[in-house]
Amino acid sequence: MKTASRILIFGSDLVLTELVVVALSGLGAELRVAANWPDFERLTARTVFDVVVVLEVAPVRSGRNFFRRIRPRPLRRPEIYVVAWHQAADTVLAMLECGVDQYLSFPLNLSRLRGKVIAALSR
Amino acid sequence: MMNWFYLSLSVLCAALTLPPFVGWVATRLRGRRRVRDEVMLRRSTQGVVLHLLTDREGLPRLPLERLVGRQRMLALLLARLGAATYGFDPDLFRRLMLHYRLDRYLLRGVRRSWGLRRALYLKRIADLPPLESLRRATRPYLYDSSREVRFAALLVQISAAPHELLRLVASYPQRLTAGEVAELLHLLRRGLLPIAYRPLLSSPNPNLQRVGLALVAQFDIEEADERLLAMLSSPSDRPLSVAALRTLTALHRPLRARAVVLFVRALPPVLRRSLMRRLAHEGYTLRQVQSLFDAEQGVSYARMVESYKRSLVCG
Amino acid sequence: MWVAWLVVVAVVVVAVVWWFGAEQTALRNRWLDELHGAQSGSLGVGLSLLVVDARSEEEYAELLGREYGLLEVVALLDGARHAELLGCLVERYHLIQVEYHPSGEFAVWGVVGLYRSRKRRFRRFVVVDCRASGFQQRLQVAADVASLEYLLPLGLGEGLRPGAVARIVTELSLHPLLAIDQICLAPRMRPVVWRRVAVATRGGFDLRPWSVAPRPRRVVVWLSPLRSRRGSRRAFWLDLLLLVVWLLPMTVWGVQGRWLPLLAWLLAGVTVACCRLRIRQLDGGEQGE
Repeated sequence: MKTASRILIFGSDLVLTELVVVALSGLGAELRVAANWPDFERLTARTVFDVVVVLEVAPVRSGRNFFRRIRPRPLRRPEIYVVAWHQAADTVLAMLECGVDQYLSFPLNLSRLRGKVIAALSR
Repeated sequence: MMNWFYLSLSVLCAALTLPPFVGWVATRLRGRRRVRDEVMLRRSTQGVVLHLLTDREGLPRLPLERLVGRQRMLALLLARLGAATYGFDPDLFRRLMLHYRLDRYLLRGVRRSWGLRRALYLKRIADLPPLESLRRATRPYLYDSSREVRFAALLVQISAAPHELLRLVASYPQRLTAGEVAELLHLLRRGLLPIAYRPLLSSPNPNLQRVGLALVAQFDIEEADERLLAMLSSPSDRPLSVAALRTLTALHRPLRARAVVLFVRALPPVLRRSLMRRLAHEGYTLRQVQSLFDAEQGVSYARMVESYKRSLVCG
Repeated sequence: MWVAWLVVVAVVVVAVVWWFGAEQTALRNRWLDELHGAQSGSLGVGLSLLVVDARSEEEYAELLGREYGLLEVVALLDGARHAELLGCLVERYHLIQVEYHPSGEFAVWGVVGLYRSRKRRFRRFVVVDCRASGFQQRLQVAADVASLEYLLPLGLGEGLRPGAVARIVTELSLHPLLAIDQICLAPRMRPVVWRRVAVATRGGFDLRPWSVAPRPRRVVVWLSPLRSRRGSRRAFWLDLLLLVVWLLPMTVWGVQGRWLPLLAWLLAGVTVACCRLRIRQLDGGEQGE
């Protein structure tokens, strides 16, 4: 029996996090939310996720080994999406260099995000 | 006489005690309600977003309608959702605004306050889908004595009538600052109107030129180089020329043009050093900017670039 | 006794002015929070955080994780005393040692090494191995290395409040370009943000009280963007001392049955206490919004 997919949403902003949670609900996937670094560590210690949606850029810059933790080499899962307000080209390149699969900016088309996550889960 | 002094001091102190005490109590009460308010806000966000995604008729049930301060929270919620999403019909937001009388609540707030409080109410109106009634009622605040109020009123007008952006910005009485221009761009990014940069940069109006520069920087428009160099050549508006130079450096465009060289060489030495640091930070090599500096500055710049070791940044 | 009453009136006036300033700053902060320029990084205002004392790795990570794009963190360490920490930072942030050339704008000494990151995402982090011991001297070294227009020194044990960077850069962007030399914290008028060129022109940081830029070139705030453990302890002892000083005459008047001066003194104390309560509440960020 195929186990349900798992999606992790990391973000400290309540409204934005809830927005993405609702947009990704109803896909048959288990949704978990981490609002801060301790929550994130706790959730990722026990669970392997299929898609991780990060709603800020801080994990890219802070050096906390965020991406290595959720996707240790040589694994190719989970897919990592970063959704943030408009970032400079340098920051976008930095995100892609440290393993982010998709970068989307606010304002966000929820249907588009949903479509991308559905495609990721079906791969 | 001392008795009069004691009495006056007592009355004055009694009066002055009330405002901070009331403020303290009100904030404490709000703090205690915060956890419950966050739960209601979360559920209300779910209600609105589900309604948007499923395109339902009618209005969603919002748990926060039972809260004290529900209009303030609903206005905040709709503003946040409106800023963070696009592609949805704003009709639901308008119906929610009318159903919960947010237009009256916000207008009442605008009329009863002044200064920054008034600007905050106007800003909230600008963040929400436009209503013609709000647009008309807030037009007089374009001439308010407070700069923040005038700017917030400008945002309301642009939000309600984006086709009038050029006229409104051109007629704005003050020079727009970088922060104000950034806010205008944020408004435009909500998909209000595609703006062509050429007429903005070519306009004699400095505010329109600033918006044009910000557009060029934001969307990395390489074709604007010629126009930016022309702005450097015009000595009449020094701040605008500096802004044009900063746009060129932010986009990492070539700086060998004669207009750039003459402009930089005319800068005071301290500003030239500041520019040097910014260029090194942006990653310009010595060869790319050699013509801007004299021999001694060139040596300093070479050392600065050497310490950045950008060629080793390979990801 | 009239001198004591004069002092009381002065204290009440200071407390009320301070409270009013704090309310205005809190309101201004709400306005700055409403503007979105800092989110998109399109303000063009660069800010260098100068961290002149050794911190934990988590503290550096927290500073580096601030969302604003044009931010730099210049961290000073004594490599001899904090060799392990320096090693951890070098490994974690992929730092390499690069050449250091003083800019000539500041009198600096004691720099043993300068480290920058090979990784694009950590380019905002600069570490200086410095043996200089004085606070002002270390500030000057950090300022010499900093590359952005504005400097925000973090003193011993000082941190940044949530949203502080966004508010500072937004405030600076609401003035004409580079028109502001300092952001000062009232009522002591202590500068918390400095314009690098202005500091270099003066030859260094002038840390004397009330040594501030002229009015058109400074912004005054009444709530600090910085968090300080030391500050709150000091405030507690000061409050305790004021309470004792305030209670003494009341005890005497109470015994003597002089009710009017007792009432006036009591109400003056209550006013100051309420202002202080509200200021501390605003300073602690409890705005209830």
